[in-house]
Amino acid sequence: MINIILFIIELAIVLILINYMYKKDKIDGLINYSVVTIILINIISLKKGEILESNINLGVLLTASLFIVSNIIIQKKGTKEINKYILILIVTSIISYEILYMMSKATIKDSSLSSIYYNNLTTGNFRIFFSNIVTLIYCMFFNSKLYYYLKKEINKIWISNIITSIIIQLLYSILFIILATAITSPTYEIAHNIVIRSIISILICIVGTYVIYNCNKIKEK
Amino acid sequence: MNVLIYFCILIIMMVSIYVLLKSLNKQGLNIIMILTNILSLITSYKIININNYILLSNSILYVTLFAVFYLLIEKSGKKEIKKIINTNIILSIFSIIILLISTFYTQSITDTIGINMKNLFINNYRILIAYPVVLSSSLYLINYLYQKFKYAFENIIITCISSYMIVSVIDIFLFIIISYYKYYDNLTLMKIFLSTYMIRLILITIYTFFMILLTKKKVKK
Repeated sequence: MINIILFIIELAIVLILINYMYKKDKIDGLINYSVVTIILINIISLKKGEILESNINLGVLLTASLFIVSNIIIQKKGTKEINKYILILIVTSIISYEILYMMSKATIKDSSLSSIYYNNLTTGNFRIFFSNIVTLIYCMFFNSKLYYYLKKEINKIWISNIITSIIIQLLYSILFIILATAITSPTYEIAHNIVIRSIISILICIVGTYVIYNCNKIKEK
Repeated sequence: MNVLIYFCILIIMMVSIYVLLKSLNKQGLNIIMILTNILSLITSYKIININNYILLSNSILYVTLFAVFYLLIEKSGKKEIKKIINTNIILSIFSIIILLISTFYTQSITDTIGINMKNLFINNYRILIAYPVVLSSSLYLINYLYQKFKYAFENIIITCISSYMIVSVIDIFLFIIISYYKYYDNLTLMKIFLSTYMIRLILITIYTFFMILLTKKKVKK
């Protein structure tokens, strides 16, 4: 129960911040938000929490929020801007992982407990980082094409967002969980995690439709 | 080993500043500033040795943050600078909240990372309080001093180094006192303070010359 309450609080904070950053700095604000989020994903997704009787990597909410942000950018600027956005995400993710990893290899002062915990946290998690970045790049490109196509054909935010969310989040969950946990986890657990993770991220993206609507109302200068 | 790591990070940061400045201009600098801000928050938990010196491991990232901030002061107006400072403060507070929330999640039975996260972020909660306080005061102070010294000295090298010399004394002292007072003995705190101060001064000098090279305008013959 406590995990669900924390999840709702986190979701509220994330959505409020996306809205605030867009109001304040428009697309630049959203890019700044995404830079912070991608660094946090590199750390948070290492932890597994129990949500709906399933072991879920905690980065799911922040990852889904990146898709909400990318949909706002497509809605406002089209696909050219989104390619720049994806490139920024890749570069910042690689730099941040590299630096966090290099720092964990630095020798420490003997009595510093916090340094030991830092090393334990950031060492030996290359597989999750790799799964995250590969899946994110692939799904972001696919998401941008699909959302833009639906926007052109239907031009209704909620339809475009819900359809892309269902397809992309399902694809993301399948790819991520297979890349991150295949061989080390039993098959039934993998299947169970894929279903639960997809449901959670689809729900987040559907709630995010409100933010896309809200941002769409604000006029660019 | 640690010198090599620091040297590698310095090269990565310089290349990133160069590439992002050339490709995205001010937006690129903003991205680097936010990236170094969040990474230095996370790496501030570690204390490392360089030869016989004990220092905060985030020194290099923290100095990069200020070096980029100097470039932004040169390129932006007063209002814009205030906006940049506020964005950085808000995003660092957001990261702290997200890190805390994800630490409080009940971990799954198979998870080992959750214990390290709890030990790192909850047991050393003072760092989470110290970081945004120190960052915001330093950014505002350095902006104020830079504007004053710029007219007084009319030399960019002296302006950058002297303003940083003053600010970093307050910065490091406040951070160490809030985060590590009574955690280490006074002699160790003194050693950390002096070594961190010295390393940061060397780094800001290197960065100042790098920034001058970076902003030098080519004159057509």
